[in-house]
Parts: sequence; structure tokens; C-alpha cells
Amino acid sequence: MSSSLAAPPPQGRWLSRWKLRRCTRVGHGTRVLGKIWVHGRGKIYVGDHVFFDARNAPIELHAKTHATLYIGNGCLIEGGSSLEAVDSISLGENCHLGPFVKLMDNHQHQTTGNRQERPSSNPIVLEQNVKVGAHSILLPGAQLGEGTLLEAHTVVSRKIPAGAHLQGNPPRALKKEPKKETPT
Amino acid sequence: MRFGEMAKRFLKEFRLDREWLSHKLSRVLGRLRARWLFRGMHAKDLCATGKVVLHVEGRLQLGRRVTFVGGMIPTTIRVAKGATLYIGDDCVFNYGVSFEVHACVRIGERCMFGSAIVVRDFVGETLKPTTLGNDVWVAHGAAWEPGICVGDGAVLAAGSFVAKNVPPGHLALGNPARTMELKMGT
Repeated sequence: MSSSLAAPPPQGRWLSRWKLRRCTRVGHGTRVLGKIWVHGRGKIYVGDHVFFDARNAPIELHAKTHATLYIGNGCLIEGGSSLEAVDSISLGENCHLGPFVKLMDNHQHQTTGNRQERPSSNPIVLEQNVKVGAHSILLPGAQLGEGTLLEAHTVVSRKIPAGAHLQGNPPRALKKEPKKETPT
Repeated sequence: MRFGEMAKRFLKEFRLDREWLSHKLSRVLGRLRARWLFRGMHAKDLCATGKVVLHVEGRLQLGRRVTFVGGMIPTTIRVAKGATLYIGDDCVFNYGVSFEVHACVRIGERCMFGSAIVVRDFVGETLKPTTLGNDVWVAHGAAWEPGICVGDGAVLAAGSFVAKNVPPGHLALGNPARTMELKMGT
């Protein structure tokens, strides 16, 4: 669970609120360590007990005009992650985004024709208990089911069923269970 | 006449869209910053709306209207002694692009670079000159083997690792990258 991975320190409550002052709603117990860059005129909802751990690199939260960015309760977002919403991005409860993860729900440029035009966007949905490894990229249309586990450097742009364990670009399912830690 | 139009637009847009104003302001500041950063270089109309770290010992040749967009991570340009980096006109680089040039890198005109890309021409001790054509779009997190040649109008998809040459007008996708044809409208 995300809360057991890195428990946020109890101090810095008002500082965290000040750093997230541009969000539409911030839940209680939300902590920010380090630098966070919130911009755009869309709506950003941050749930309760969310932990932004930006000690190694800053975090970007960007919601364009009329966009919504929803972060559920108990999420853990590590440094260098950037969430860019043009239409909508929603993270469920207890999601864990590793360092340098990129979530974008719009490609920003067209591959054919005029490159300066913005194509239509496709919302990103992460359900509960999703874990995303370091440097992963979630492209428009990525919908991760409950309990999905993505390894590092995975690139996803489609619907993934619940409980899948994926790796690679294009993503492939890992059949083996991840090695369980030896009990001490 | 043009000033009048600008003023009209200013008055009209201020209530509706403050984003436009802040965009313009950052652009003006970026031009000033770029003028200071790239002083002594024969490059015009540059724009750097963010921090740019320069370690240039070799040759850096920039085209006109090159933009370095600022953001979370500063842009770094590192050109070693005896190395050359050519950047064509109208290129746009998003934040976090870092250039690590030890031999020669050529970037064509009207290229677009996403965030967090390392533009390099070496791995370990092997140096190979790398060329990117015109109208190339490199998406977030793409990387390549040094010594490759990317054709005009090609697209390197997000998170892809390109090990072979990409023909013009093709899309490189995956790790290792496979290429497929794009139908460019223009």
C-alpha cells in the first residue's frame, strides 16, 4: 500500500496547503515535500492524505482550461512526475506513481497534416491501487483497471484489465508473479 | 495600425483570457533572456522561456526563431571541445531537453522536441555523428542509438528507442523501434 511505502512526515501542513493553493480542492492530510508546479486554468481536485514526494525533482500538475484533474485519496506521487490534462485525468484511491512518470491525455500535435493543431483528447482513468513504475508514460486512452502493476519504462495507450502486470513498450503481460520479499 | 490592433486585442482578451497575456509576457521575457544567454552567437529571434544551462566549448550553431520552453527541468546544452551542434530554424524544444554532444549532431528545420529528451551522439566511448531531418517530431522520452539518421517528417513516438535509421515520413514506435509509414498531408 502506498501509505506504507513512504509515510509522509507530520510537519509542513500549512506549507503544503500554500504550495497547492492553485488547486480547486485539497483534502486534509495532504503533504508536499519539495517543489510542485501547478498551472493551467482547469480544475484540480486533490483528495485526502495524498503525498507528493518531490524531493528529487519537481512535480507538474497541469490542467488546461475546462479540464479536470482528479487525484484520489491516499495517492503517492513521486518526484519528476508530470500530469497534463487537456480533457480529464483521474487517479483512483491509493495509486502510486513512480518517479518521472508522464500522464498526458492529448498528443498535443497531429502526426499527419498540420502539426500545430491539437487533436481530440482521450481521457486517462486509473482505478484503485494501480502502481506505475518509474519513467512510464501513459498516453491518451490509457485506462488501467484495479490493481494493475506497470513495471518501469512501460508505455500504455489502451484499456488494461484489472490485476494485469505489464512491462515494456509495446506493453506485454508478465505471467510470473513478482517475487515476494522474504519475510524478515 | 498594428499597435492599435494589439491594444484592442489586449483590452478584449484581458477579461476573457489571461493565459494569452501571460503567454505573451513570458515570450517577451524569454526573448530578452535568450538574447543575453546566446550573446556573441550569430542567431536571431531566439526565445528561452526558462532556465538554460550552457557548457559550450565546441561550436554551437543555432538557426532563427529557435525556442527553448521552460518548465520543471532546465534545458542543458553541453558541447565538447571540437564538437559541433547544428540546430535549424523554427525548432521548438520543450523543457528538460539536454544536449550532450561530443562529435556532431545536426537537427533540421521546424523540428519539435518533447520533454525529457537526451540528444546525444555517444554511448560509452563510441562517437558517431547523428542527423535528424526537417519536420521531425520527437515525443516525450524518446531515445536513440548514436549514429542514426532520421528522415524528413518522421515521428519518434513517446518512450521509443530507435536503433535503426528511420526513413522519411515514417513513425518509429516501441522498444526496439519498428517503423511504419505516416501519410503526411503536406
